[in-house]
Amino acid sequence: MERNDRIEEELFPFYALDALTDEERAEVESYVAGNPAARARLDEAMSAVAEFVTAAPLTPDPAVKARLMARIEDEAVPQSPATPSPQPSPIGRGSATPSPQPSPTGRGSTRPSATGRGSASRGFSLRDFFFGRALGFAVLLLLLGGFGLWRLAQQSSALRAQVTELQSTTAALRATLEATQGENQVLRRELAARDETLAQLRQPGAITIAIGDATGEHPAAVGTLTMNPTTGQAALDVANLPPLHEGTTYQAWMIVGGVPVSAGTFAVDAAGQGHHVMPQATLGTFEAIGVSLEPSGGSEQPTPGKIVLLGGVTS
Amino acid sequence: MTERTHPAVELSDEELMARVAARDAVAFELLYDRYAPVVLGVVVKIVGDRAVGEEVLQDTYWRIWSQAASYDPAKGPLRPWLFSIARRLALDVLRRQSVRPQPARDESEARRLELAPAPGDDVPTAVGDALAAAQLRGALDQLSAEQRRVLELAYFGGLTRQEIAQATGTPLGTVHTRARLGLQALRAKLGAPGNE
Repeated sequence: MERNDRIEEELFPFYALDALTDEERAEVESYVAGNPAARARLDEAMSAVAEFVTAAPLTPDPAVKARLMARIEDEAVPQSPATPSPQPSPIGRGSATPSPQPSPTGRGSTRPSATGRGSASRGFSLRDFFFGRALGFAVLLLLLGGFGLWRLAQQSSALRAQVTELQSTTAALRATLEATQGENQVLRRELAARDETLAQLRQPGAITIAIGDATGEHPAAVGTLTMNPTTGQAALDVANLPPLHEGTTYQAWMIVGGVPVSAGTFAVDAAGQGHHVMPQATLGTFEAIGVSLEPSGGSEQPTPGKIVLLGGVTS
Repeated sequence: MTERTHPAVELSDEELMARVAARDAVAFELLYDRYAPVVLGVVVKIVGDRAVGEEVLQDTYWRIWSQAASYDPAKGPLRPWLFSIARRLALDVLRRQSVRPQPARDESEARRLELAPAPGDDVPTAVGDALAAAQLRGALDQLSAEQRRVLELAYFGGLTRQEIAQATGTPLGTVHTRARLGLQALRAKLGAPGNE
């Protein structure tokens, strides 16, 4: 399709900037409707505008999100009482149709009992009477005995289940103990490595840079970057950081030419303390150091709004 | 060190939105986390007040939740659609207040807004916001003051191209050229290696 320079050069930018009249918008939309190449160029302009407006993100008050989620929850209750699980399925929101009850298959006739007692009259002796009583008593005893046996079997089964459960609990405790002992050894090794690193960094000529929480949200959160200019080795020590939740990690960043470059992930203990070795932090190659909260495994770039500490290396 | 992203974060905007349209609150929450800071940045720049901006942010996301089905990926990417909702709500608020927009001219003021922390946030984030913005600031620096002003008046000021020409005393053709070249410069810079 032929390119319309007037629309593309004059209207596309303002369509992307959302600054056209309704008529002009309609003209643009009609033009790109059957023109995939023009559609792609318009999308580029829109993406450029989207980038343009992202220049100054601001962290919203968490209460805003809380209110929204509560509102959504409130909405869900009256609207879909029969809605099943909140499973994130993109599949339609179809109402939960109750499954039809299977029709009773027993269409067969309930046959009338054919136990028609005859009306034949019989003789009834005293012996027959006692024999019947004895037989009834024997049956009763048999039933009681069976019930007792059944109860005993049940109790025995429950006890056996308890024993099995205790055995598995013991095994789990033993495994936990072994894991803890393993962690202990790992921690000892890490501590030794840390001591070794610190000793090296404390050599004459080592440089220490303090980084902190510039926002005032967590004034106690601090960090210290210690660098050995000779070896290029550096260690980052942090304290009083907010505790990590499951599936998250802290990630160190060196800001090189305004671009964050990952310097590895690390965890903190319950007190928010952590230690992280950065093997390639040569003085002069980066202008700032930061720490952000990221999903486990770290991220390619710091998540907007999740940087905890930041400090400049040069003033 | 192996770098990888959280699985949930790997969902594209359009995939997330499809889930939101299917009334998936988890997807909605993820979409909120992904764009709320940027949306708030946009609306605060328009209304000039953080508290009002957060109300607009809430209205924006409520509208996204309520009208998720109206988003059509065939008509364009999600971000412009989302920002457009926020921007229009913010401009409505502005018009109701009968206050004209004040695009940030003073760089130090803009920086102060960027660094202003949200009250009650569990992780201090304002510095992080500023750091993320620093990447883009490099691209914005490529724009001339005139180009930037045209883009800001159109987007944050809600002015049409004719109104911009009138407000700046510039011929309409020049306004067109500045907008076009400004967006071209942004695309060129943002498309360059190292800026993805």
